[in-house]
Amino acid sequence: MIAIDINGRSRSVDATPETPLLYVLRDNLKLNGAKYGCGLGQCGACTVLLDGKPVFSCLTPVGSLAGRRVRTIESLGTEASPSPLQRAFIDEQAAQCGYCSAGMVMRAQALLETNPGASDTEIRARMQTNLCRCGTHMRILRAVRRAAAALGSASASPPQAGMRDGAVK
Amino acid sequence: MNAPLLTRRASLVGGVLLVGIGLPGRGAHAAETTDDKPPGSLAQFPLLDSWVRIDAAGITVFTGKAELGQGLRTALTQIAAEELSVPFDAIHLVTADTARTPNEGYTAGSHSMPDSGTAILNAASQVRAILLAIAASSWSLPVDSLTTRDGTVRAPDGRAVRYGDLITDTTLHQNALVRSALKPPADYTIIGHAQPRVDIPAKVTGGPAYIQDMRPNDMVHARILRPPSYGATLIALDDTEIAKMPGVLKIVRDGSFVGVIAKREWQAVQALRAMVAAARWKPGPKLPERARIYDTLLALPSEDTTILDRLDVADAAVSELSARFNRPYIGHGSIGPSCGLALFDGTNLTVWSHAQGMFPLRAAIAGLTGLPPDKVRCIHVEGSGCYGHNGADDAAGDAALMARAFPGQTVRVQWMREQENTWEPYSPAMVTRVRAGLNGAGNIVDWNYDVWSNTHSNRPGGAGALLAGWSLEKPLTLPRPVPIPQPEGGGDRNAIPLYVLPHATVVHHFIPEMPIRVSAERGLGAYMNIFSIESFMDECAAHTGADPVEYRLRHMQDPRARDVITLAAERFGWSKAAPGSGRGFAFARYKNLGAYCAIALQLAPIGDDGQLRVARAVLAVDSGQIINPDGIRNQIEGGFLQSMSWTLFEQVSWNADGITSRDWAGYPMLRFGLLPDQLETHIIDRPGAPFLGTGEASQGPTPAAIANALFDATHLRLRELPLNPPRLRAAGLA
Amino acid sequence: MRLGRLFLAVLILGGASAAAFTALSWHRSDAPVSPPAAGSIPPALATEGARLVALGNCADCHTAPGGRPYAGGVAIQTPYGHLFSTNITPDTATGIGAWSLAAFTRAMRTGISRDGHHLYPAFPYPHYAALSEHEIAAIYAYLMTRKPISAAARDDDLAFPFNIRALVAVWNLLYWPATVPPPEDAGGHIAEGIAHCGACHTPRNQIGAERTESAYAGADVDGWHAPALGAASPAPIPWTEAELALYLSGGVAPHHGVAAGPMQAVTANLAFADPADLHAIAAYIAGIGGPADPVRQARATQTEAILSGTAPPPPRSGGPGAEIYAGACAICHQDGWHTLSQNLTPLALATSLSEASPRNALRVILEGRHPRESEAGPQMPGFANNLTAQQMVDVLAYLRTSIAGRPAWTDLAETVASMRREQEPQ
Ligand code: FES
Ligand code: FES
Repeated sequence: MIAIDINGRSRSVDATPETPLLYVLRDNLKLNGAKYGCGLGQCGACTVLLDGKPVFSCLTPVGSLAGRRVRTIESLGTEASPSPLQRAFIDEQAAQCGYCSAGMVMRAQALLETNPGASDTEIRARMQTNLCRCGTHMRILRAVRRAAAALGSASASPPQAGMRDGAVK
Repeated sequence: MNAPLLTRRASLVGGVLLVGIGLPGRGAHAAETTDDKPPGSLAQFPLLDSWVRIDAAGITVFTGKAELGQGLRTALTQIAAEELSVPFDAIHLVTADTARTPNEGYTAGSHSMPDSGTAILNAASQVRAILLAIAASSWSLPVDSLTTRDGTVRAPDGRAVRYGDLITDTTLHQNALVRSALKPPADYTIIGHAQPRVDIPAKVTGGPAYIQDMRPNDMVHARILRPPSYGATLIALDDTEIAKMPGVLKIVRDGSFVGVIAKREWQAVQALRAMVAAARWKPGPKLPERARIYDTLLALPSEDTTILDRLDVADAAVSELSARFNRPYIGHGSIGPSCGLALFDGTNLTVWSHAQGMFPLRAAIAGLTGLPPDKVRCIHVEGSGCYGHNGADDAAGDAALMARAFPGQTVRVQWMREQENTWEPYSPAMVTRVRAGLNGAGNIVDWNYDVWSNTHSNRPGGAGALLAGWSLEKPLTLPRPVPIPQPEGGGDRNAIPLYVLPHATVVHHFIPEMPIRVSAERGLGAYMNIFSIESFMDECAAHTGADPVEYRLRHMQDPRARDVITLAAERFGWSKAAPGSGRGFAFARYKNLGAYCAIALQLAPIGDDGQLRVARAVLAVDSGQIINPDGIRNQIEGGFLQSMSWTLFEQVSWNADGITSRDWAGYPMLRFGLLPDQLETHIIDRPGAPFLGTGEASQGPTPAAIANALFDATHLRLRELPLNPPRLRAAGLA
Repeated sequence: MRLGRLFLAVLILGGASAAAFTALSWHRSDAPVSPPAAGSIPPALATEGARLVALGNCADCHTAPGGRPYAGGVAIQTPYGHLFSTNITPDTATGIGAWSLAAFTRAMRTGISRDGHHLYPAFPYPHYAALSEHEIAAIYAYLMTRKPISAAARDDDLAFPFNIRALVAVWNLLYWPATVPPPEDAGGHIAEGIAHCGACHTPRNQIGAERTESAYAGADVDGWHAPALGAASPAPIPWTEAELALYLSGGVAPHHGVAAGPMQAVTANLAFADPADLHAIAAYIAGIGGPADPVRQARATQTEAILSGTAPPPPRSGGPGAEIYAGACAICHQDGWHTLSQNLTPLALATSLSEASPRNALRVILEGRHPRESEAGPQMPGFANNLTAQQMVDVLAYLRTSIAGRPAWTDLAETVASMRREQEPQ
């Protein structure tokens, strides 16, 4: 049995120390947020926060987590009461299949916690780690910018006009 | 691929139905009803209660199509709610399930709205008419005097009755009429209005949303050992130590098909790794040399069909242009590798899958397991975006075999990333050749086009299409592929230009033999054919010194095509952008039957690293009556970015011994760094017009718009994809 | 970037007399000219220039991350502050558009800018001094065919007295130029000249000049260690010309590893160099110092035996390092002698695990390796956020002894501590 601190709760899991955190989250703890995408640290679908910093849970052995705090997307908000960032993803409809979404949210969450007024360039650079095959990138950027604008100081600049849409009747 | 299928739908009220699946040959204009049949999939399934049921529990709507991340649940719910006059939330939608829903074949080819959307629209409308008629007769009031609102029929005097109280179990068990009294589009309050997607909140909060998130209590985890290359066979595998590994419950072997079942998922992964290390294989046939793949394909025997032979009156040609285009194999690249769950109770096999066609999958799995089809039930559960025929069907087949060997518990098979990238059926490499004669005014008077391609569909239609079948002791083989006929076409999809071309010949060279496993991927041949045609239109325009947009309009009569072309050009500011600044244009109507899409874009200056970047893109689309405008935008933008990624650098790679693009390091895809700065989508609404579908509309024009912009910037015409840095360097552009 | 350490020449210059100093350091300004007219540059000459520019890796130092090619602005870190590379596009105001060929030649050979001021030898003119007139003209021709980009040079940010450019003059007296073989010796001419391999791989003395007596003995660059080349290479299996040529052109050597750190950008540029040139460089570099000594030969034989399965791999220790390896590394690197998921070099052969210092291995673990977005190639995530300092020490110890089978590194804890300070991860 290994004790780990997940979303502020100490959980005791029956797993060998080398087991990647991703499998412990999904299989032992039945959490859906972190996704298996590659298991190789190449896609970011499994991103969670470790002591506030984003990591690939697929390459994080559970035995290495003593004394450290893990946060998954389940800690942010719920369907009924989403967090500001989750709200922004919903408002921007920033998903197609959505398989990448949880990882995107967690990576952006880590950024906004340390840098609430992150610039467009900073957001793009940070999100580079995470893959989206549906081509939802522009909306994801908008969602992160929207949350950044909401979280940032009053003087923070509003979301940039990266996309303009129109319907012609 | 689509041999008619006999299916039994046991749960339909009182009904046994004989159905043939009719995709994709039936045509996306299904919404334009013929006189003797109701429109869309209602033609095959006329019973109203196949689509809509109303009972004490509420309103349930059925579709044989599946949610693939394209927003289908939301759009179909909007349609049903609108025509039934109930709030959006009042509808419970059931998607593809062989035991519950109509057999609508595959969720593919941008057919869901024309087929299922149209069926639900009409069925719902007719159900509402029935409800009104019943209420009218019970109240002895004229139908015209009644209204429907919020799930009730109301009389002018204030009386109201709930739908559920008006009908019995069998009321809706009647055939649809050929025509429906549809609401006038002007009265729409739900269709055509932005509707937040129903599935997104769970997806961004860690709710269960995918097949990968299913966890029945009795579930065990399986992994499959795959050969190192096509056709390799297992010589030896000493699994005695592996069987003793912690958590291992069973090792299943049938010829070269080997799978392991373990209690915990990580234990299954470790057992698989041990099997990979221990297995010894006899290699399969060598793969053809990658550098010569196009010549290899051209040298294979082909079945040639002239799909267009037009000889109208035309001027004599005074000049002639010709060109050849090549495109590589491209992967689907789903972010979540394929997954399948199956439970065998000794008699019945239930399979949960994210494949695109539950009914064809059921037939394939019946063949693979030897079970009668009526003992197999396939239920669709959403996976990550698939964009066509990826490994989903195969994973379902794997799960079925493992479950049959391990009865009584649900077996979950999850493919590893390298298995998905190595074994999924890719979108085939293709070659096209085009020759045009121009008259004195520079207009095209003669057009000759040839397209060479493997099949674009090896979907299950039989067990031989499932990967597991190839490795069995008594191996199954892939049925000989046949071309998808026009008007939709496969490799020849969109091979016929929509332009006015008085003399035109188009020949499809269908190559049955496949050196690399291929099947359907978003747009099928449209990606390559539109790339070729729209690049070549630009070449002809440049040859004549004409403006590319004006040149297209000269050759285009279809008014809706002209509208999207004009709209994209206007919103981009085409007439103000300087020629030579790296601007490019392209247009297509998907399948010549579906949505219209035009793209104008601007490239960023090309750096010495040879990396192309799109700075700004403006897309215009007409997909008929809009259901959910934001849903259309999401699909169009996503299709553009995905196609841009294909175009800028994607290609499957291999050596003689097997596929080498085994993961995202070997098969890079678009990330955030190469995004355009701006992406705009403009939609033309066509109230009351048939739904044309949207999912694949931007795939084809994208590569041509990029290549045309590259030509505009550099006067160099690149005709082989991808347009990646090494190719630009080789062309002297960096 | 390249040549991170600034020469300490200034330290000894304190005693130089002001008069002598002024005489030495004064150079005339070359009159500005108009850039050559488009079309006046022979394409063949520009093409040859492109070849040399690729070999010289010019783009790397003169292109800021995300910036326009050759527009400069790359910060070069030194112990005394930052230098910024200059704009070498043909922009008249901010680039070299106003430079005559003569002015350009003077800069390439002597490190004197058009306006007469001294360039710091972070610009490797000591290597370029032996380029032929024709070669310099070709490079000039190529650069003049680039798109002019207006990008003013950023002011260097060096502490006094290092900010006195004139002091470079004295340095030049002592240490310029390098010895470059004639063009007939193609490999040597390229490697010592335009490609300036020694600028990174040769250790420098206290005033920052290459120690020719220890040529290619390996040196520290930008917090990485450019390993020793030729006979002194720490790689378990000696380099061959063929494998080195492959490595230079693609960044991957099946028996040595994957280019990382500053060398990743070098190999990315060399991918577009003429293969014949790369073979020439490879032949020259692989031959430095003659054949490997018997100790290395024996090690190579042993390594090959393990690879082919005829000898057992080194014994494995257990403990926290082994657990981290199993859960974080083995997924791609397997047992270190085989690979599963990528066409990778077996980890046990990676040069970084056989070097005297754990620095390179640690940096790769912290930062990972990231090909360009559109480029297929070995990719590895950084583990800076995953692992604590102690866990880094544990896993490095395991990699060194149990995977590579080498004697333990003794300075692991200090190296990890100091590098984590330098690299406050995101
Ligand atoms: S699953 Fe962890 S990075 Fe892809
Ligand atoms: S929304 Fe499907 S992968 Fe991002």
